Parts: sequence; C-alpha cells; structure tokens
Amino acid sequence: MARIYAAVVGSFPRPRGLARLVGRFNSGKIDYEKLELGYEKYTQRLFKLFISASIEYFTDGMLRWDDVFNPLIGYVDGLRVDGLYRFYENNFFFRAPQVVGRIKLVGNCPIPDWYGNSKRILNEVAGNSKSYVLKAVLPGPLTFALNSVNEYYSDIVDLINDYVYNVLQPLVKELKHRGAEVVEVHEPELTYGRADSRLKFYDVELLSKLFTELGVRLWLQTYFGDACSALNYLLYLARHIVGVDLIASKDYSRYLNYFSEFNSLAIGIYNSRSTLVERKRSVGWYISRFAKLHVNEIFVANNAPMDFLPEIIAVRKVRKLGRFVKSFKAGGVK
Amino acid sequence: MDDAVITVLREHEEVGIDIPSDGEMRRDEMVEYFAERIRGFKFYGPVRVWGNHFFRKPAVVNKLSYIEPIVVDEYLFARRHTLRPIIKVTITGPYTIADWSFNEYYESKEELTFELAGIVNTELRKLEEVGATYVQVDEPALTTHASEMEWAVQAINKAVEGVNVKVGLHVCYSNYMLLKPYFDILNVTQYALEFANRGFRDLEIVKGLSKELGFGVIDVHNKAVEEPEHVAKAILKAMEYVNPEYLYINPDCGLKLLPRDIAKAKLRAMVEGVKIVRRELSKRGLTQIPLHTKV
Repeated sequence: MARIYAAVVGSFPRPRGLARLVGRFNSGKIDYEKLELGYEKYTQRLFKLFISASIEYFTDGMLRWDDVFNPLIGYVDGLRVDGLYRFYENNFFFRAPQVVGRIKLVGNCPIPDWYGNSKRILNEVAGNSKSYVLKAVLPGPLTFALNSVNEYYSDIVDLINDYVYNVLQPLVKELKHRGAEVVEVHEPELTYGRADSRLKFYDVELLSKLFTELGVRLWLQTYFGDACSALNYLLYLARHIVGVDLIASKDYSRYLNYFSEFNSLAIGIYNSRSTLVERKRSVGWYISRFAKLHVNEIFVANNAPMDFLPEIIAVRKVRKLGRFVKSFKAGGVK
Repeated sequence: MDDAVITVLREHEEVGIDIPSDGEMRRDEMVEYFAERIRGFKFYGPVRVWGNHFFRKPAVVNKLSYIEPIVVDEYLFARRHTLRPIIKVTITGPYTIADWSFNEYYESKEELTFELAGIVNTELRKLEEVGATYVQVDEPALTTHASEMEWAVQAINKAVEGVNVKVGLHVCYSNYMLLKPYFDILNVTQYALEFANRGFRDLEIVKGLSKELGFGVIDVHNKAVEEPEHVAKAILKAMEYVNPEYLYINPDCGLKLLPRDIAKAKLRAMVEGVKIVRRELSKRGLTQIPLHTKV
C-alpha cells in the first residue's frame, strides 16, 4: 500500500492585501522593507493555513512570482522580458522570455534566498517539525523554451541545454544549499502537446540526470494536458516524483497499470480552474484506485497552479484536500 | 463618472481621434461589468490576470437572464458630449464572458455561451434602436481553446444576428493563426487586432483579409510612448496587406492600465503617425472613406 500525503502544487492566489502592497511598492509609495514585511506576513499566514489543513508537501505559494517565468527571467543574461502572452488556455498572461543572447544565470538572483527565508518562516510556524516539506518551484526547460521568443538559438535543443546547465543547475545547487530537498519543476509542455517526441525525451533525460547528480528530489509537475498521452516520457522519470493533472486526463483509468511503474505520483484531483469544490465521494474514488497501485508514494494534490481561483475558493479546496487525506489515512474513507 | 467620460471624450478630440469612445470609464473590468448586470452571476473574489493585476472573476450559479439595457445609457451620454459624429461602443462578447467565468450551472460551456449570445444580441439591438452606428465586440478569449472555435464563432454570429450597425471584433494577445480560417465566416465588419505588443510579428495573417482591419499600433502594456514615425512605418507595412480604405488605426487594446498622461501621449503619437500616412495617401487622391456597416 502506497504512503499517502496531502500536497499543494504551484502558486496560491496572491492575497488582496499583499497585492495592494506590491502595487504601492511598484508606484513608489512604500519602501522595499515594508514590502518584505508584507511577504513575510502573508507567507506566514499561508503556512499556517497549510499546517492547519494537514498539508504535508507545499510551496510558498509563489507569492513573489508574477507568473511561472517572472521574476526569474529578469536574472538571466541573454534574456529580455518581452510582451504579454496568454498562458496556455487561460485568462492569465505572462511576460515572455525574449532570448537575445546566450543564456546564463546572473550572480545576484534572489530566488534561493527567498526560499531560505520561506524555510525559516516555516520553521517558526511549524516549530521545527519535520512533518512538512517546503518545495522550491522552477519552470521546466521545455516549457521555458517553447514559451520564449527565441531570437538567438538556431536549434532549440541548445536553448534547452543552456537553460538546464546555465540556469537550472546553479539555481538548484543554491536551493539545496538553502535546505531544499524537493524542487518542483513545472513542465506543462510535456503533456500539452506542442513539442515533438525528440524534445520531450531530451527534456526528461536532462532533468533526470541533473537532479540525480545534484542529489535533490525532482518533482516534475505537468498540467493542462493528458498525462496518459505523455506516459512514454513521464515513465523515464519513474524514479522521481511525477505530478499529473487527472482533471485533464479523462481516460486515465485505461492506463492505470502503467501508473504502477512510478515510484512516486502526485495526482492532481482538486481542480484549480473550477470554483466547484470536489465531492468527497469522487475524490475517494480516485484515491482508492491509485492507492492500490504498486507505487511507493501518492501525493494527493491540486491539478495545476491555484492562481486561477479566487483566494476564498483556494482556501476552501486546500482545507478539504487536507481533511480528506487525513481521514483517508485514518481509514475513515472507503 | 459623467465628468470622467467628458474628460476622456475631450482628450480624444484634442489629440485628434476621429472615432472616440467613452474610455469605459464606468466599467471596472470588461467581464465583471456585464456579469454584474446580467441575472445569474455570483462573485467570489478577485483572480489574477497577469503580474499584479486582478479581476473579480464571476461564477454562473443560476440561469442567466437579461435584466435591462447595459451600455445604452453609456452610449447616449457619450453621444451627447462629443463633437465627433461617430463614437465606438464596446461590449464584451459571449464567448469571452463564458470563458472568463466559472460555470457552476450550465451543462456545458457551449450552452452557457449561446445563452450569453442571446443576451448580447438583445443589447446590440437596443444600441441600434437608439442610433449607435459602430459597436466593438470584445472577444479576447476567442482563440484560447482551439477545439471550441467552431461553436464559439457561431455564438458570436448569433450575438450579431439581425444587427445592422458596424461591428468590429476585437481579439488580442491571441493566436491569430487560429482566427484566420474564420475571417469570412464571422459576420462582422472589422477585425480589431493587437500587433504592437508582438512587435508587428504575424502581420502576414491579414493578407487577403476581405474585411476591415482595426490595426493595433500602440502597445498598451508599455509606458514608452511610440514615435509617430514608428507608427507610420507600421501602418505602411500593414498597407502591404490591406487596402487603406479598409484600415482603421487603433491602440492594441484598452489603455486603462497606463497613467493618463502617457495614454494621452500615446494616442497623440498614434494620430501623428496617421497624419504622416494620410499625407502620403492624399497624394494618391485618397482623403476619406465612408463608414461601412457591411464589408
């Protein structure tokens, strides 16, 4: 029987109070110190929510991020921040990376420090409990490459390669140095379908190699696409944690046996794009089926970043998720 | 609000805009505004759209129904307060309202969209009744889901059915390759498209367009004010694909996120750019065009 955990994936809705602070900072009405205090306060509030909801694996809600690429791309040489582009099929837009030269992480990227800071806040909130794992989040190479406006690399493989070795590698090393055990790499492109199989295989091969070498657990997160259609590639990462969007994988039950080959699966069953809160019965049905597989770990999670929801609904879903997993583990759900 | 509208109209006139709008001064957001005025919606709170920008994404929790005219008074007020003979009224299209809402009530998004199409159609007919001549249906979501395009296009056609005014269809920050196959199928007079934000890439998609192009030449997400010469150059580039009598020049999208002085400076630059091109066109004897309601 697999070990079951409650998990939250990706971003959490930026609270209104924090958004107001960011707006005031952007228009020069408050200084950086006040903004930092805001981040501290709202990160603490978020961790309290996760802990009270019995969530065991989570991120810091990416409260400092505008989208999955920003602010990271502002700290990469060879990149400019381009216009607004739609983020897949959502009414959500991101500033695209415009590749104008060979890419390389610059020395002053604050992301590892932000992680370290969140880790400190978590320790304060959780009283140094080891029951909670704070994941760092970074965009995946394929997703980065295919959402870039590439004006430099003649072969996209070179762009992917440089992103992995000149951006991800130094970042993951620094994150590990700040205590990160698990890094959640967002790779919706693996299941979305724009990339050819050569690129997908290259992507998973590089990621697997990189994280194995660095000794950090890779949580490869896919969303917005059918995981079953990408099993070939995802199985390459069977030793790592693979996050799948079961809301977008309608036909997953036909492929259940293949899912048995994974070591650790994060099953996204709480819909981050619907205000309807999931019913206990349907969630229980999903978990029971996956719990029977020969998988070591099952992470019950939301299916995609939660930025697409109003905060009040996201809070409701997180509470339901945590409560449900807790009662499932206690044998209260059949 | 009235004063704000009058100010916007004056500023449009002052910088030389031929067809002003009321700047949507009374609207907080393009879906929210309509959802607040159609029965059947509920609001849970703001949802992020990009960066630090949010909107109150509505949820459909009951059967939708038309209550009363939504933008007719806006139009009438603006018409009374402008010196220009034509003003443009914007209205959010049925597909975008559906796509940017949570659906808790209808069996399918398609069913919801067609319900909204009927409501939008009622509103467009009311606008026509009071004398509106130029309406822009905003459908920024139209190409978001390629698999839904077929019925989404039919829903827009239902929304404009029987309406005999000039209808522009505004689609922005989108994949125009998905829109192109429907250029002739959509019953609209004009496509108002965003090009400045994408550095005028993809312009070739309008090659062979048999309708008007509302050509976006001002990047509304960038505070740098365009040079008129840059605008003129872009227009001349567009004229390689679209005849000038089928070309309207506009910003990429709404200017509301910009500081007012920058928005005004951008509009002025746009008009100055147009003037450069007009001087060239007048040498060819092209000085003015009639307002088409059907192309």
